[in-house]
Amino acid sequence: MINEILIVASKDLRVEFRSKSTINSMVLFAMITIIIFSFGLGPFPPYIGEVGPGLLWLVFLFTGMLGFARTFVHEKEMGTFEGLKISPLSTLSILIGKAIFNFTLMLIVEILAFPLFLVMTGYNVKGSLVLAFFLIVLGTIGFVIIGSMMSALIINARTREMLLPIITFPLAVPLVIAATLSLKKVLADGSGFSEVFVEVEFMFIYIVIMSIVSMLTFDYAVEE
Amino acid sequence: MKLERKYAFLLLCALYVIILIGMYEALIVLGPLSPESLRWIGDPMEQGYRIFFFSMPNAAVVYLAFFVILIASIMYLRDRQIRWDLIASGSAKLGLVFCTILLITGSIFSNLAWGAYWNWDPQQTAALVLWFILAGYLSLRSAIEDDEARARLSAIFGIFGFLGVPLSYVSAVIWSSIHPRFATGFSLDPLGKLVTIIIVLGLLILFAYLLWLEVSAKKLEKEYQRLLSKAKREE
Repeated sequence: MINEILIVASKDLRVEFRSKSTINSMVLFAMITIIIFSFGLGPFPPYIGEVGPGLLWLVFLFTGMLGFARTFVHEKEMGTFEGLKISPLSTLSILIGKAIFNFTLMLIVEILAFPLFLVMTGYNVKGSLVLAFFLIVLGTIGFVIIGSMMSALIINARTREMLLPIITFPLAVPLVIAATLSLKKVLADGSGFSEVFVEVEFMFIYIVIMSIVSMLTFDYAVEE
Repeated sequence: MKLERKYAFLLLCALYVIILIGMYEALIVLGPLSPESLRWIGDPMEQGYRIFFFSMPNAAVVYLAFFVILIASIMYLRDRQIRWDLIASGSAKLGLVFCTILLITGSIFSNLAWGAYWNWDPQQTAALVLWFILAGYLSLRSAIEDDEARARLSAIFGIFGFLGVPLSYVSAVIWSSIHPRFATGFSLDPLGKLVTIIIVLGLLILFAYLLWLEVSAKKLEKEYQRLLSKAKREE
């Protein structure tokens, strides 16, 4: 099982890093959004501590949408989706492999975008950066799960790239609320782990619930 | 079919009676709010609290709509009968209508009680998220042309959408606990509670009736299209 997941994930990563088309546009998109935010807010905005975490999550959400939309559509367009389905890989390992692939892309974007954001907005970080990054990663895991699952639903739709945010964001709202809130507490108020425990717990529960339901329903999404 | 129609007619009569009773009680029989329950909320609530009876019962219908979508989606994935898909999509459409009414009446209530049409209390936030889930469900449906794929994929989204109900509520509670701006609500006397139950009952019947109408209309449409394509083939 773990072998199969790694096969799917490494295949996608190898294809991606040959052309680097998706990851390049994701990173550039994240950067340009951050720059535009800092233009819009003006130099050294006084209220950045409050709104910063929300803006950062907006960047991640939009960047994620850009990448996730390609997950299954790419396979479909290249005609490799049929091959993936008739291969002896279980459908579950396809989903998890794709999620790991998306997670890797998001992680690369975040490692680059998070420091850039802090620098460009002149953010005065009060809490621990490690904890903040842990919260970002935890939120990303949930976002990647729901995004990968929803991208499997849009392969037959007409307006795929436009449809994905419309169906993913409402389901991601609870997660984003918890992620933004905890990130704000750590970055702006300097809270420790025990003060964001409720949000971490909620994100963890969200991840568990969404993973279970994704695993139960993914079979139906790819059958034809 | 004929028997079904007779039941539907009876249902409609019962619906009118129940909703009229409920509205009469809510608007005329119930007195103004007592001064001690007005302590925490604005003065316009003395009479204006009656909007509650036209707001909160819609929430019950929205939750029912989500539950119907969940059950119909699971049943569709199990036995692939198109009627489950019709039930789910009809329920989503009605849910969207009731959710819109809930949002509008909810913000009137909020304005009367706290002086702002929108104050992000957990109920309002959750209702807004549910509105977007239903809208997303319907736009997913409209973007897929193939009947079978539309039914299957939207059924999966319907199951996820149901999870959004508790999750969005819990997250909204966590969120608003950070900024406790307003003391919440007011308590109803026993008669008020009874009126609420009556109106909830009336709206649930209304939902069931409209769902039945929607599903049978869609069934007729399917039948018509089948006959039309058959006639074309024979030509």
